[in-house]
Amino acid sequence: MLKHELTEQAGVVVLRVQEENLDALTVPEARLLVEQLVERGGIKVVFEMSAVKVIDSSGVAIIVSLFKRLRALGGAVRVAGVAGQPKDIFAMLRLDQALPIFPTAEEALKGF
Amino acid sequence: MVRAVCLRVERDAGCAGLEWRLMSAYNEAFNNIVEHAYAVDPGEVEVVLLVDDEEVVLRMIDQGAGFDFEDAGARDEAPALDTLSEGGMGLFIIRSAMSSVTYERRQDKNLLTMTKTLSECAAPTSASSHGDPRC
Repeated sequence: MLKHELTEQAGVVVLRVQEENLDALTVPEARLLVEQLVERGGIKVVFEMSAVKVIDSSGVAIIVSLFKRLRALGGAVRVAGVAGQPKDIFAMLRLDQALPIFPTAEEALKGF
Repeated sequence: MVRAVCLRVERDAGCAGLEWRLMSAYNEAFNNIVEHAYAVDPGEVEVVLLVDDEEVVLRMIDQGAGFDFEDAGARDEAPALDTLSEGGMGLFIIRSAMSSVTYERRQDKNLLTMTKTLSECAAPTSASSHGDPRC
């Protein structure tokens, strides 16, 4: 199972991914988590990924999928802790302009 | 092991950001081979890394099904969020990470050649190499 921590703070779900790689090997398990979150309807989620050192297109796709599907249900996603190679990939894909990204989960929770 | 090699190449070439660019291109190309070329029958992947004073060439060779490189999501602009798909994203990452990318179908093999020109690189910093957009 994908190493992660799921908590709730003030009605916001915080998903902390605790894997170094969010890639083709770990994404199938991440997809199960995403399905569980989407089944809850229009919730708010902070996707915290400071532990992730390497991401590929399948990892990016799972974050974008969560963002788009929850938004369609009236929910929202904020991404936190993007650094290193994932930050470079986000910039390359201009996701740093398209997704709400915060330095930490705590900052993402403010006013959410 | 591939990552260790890429790190060494970055250090030896004095090119900040080269490691994550090589690793990202390698990961995406490998994913494409597994998901498309060997979608039906698994096979071997040959990885060749050539380094000289001017460029680093990463070549990946498989014997799986061929594909139309030009139609396979190749684009110069980052895809918009609402149209972002995993397939097109992988090739976009490869193209963006490297200076040039070519695809050949030769003797029932797929040859994907990804080249990074070292003159585009910035000098390495003592801190992490991540985040330098020039290399």
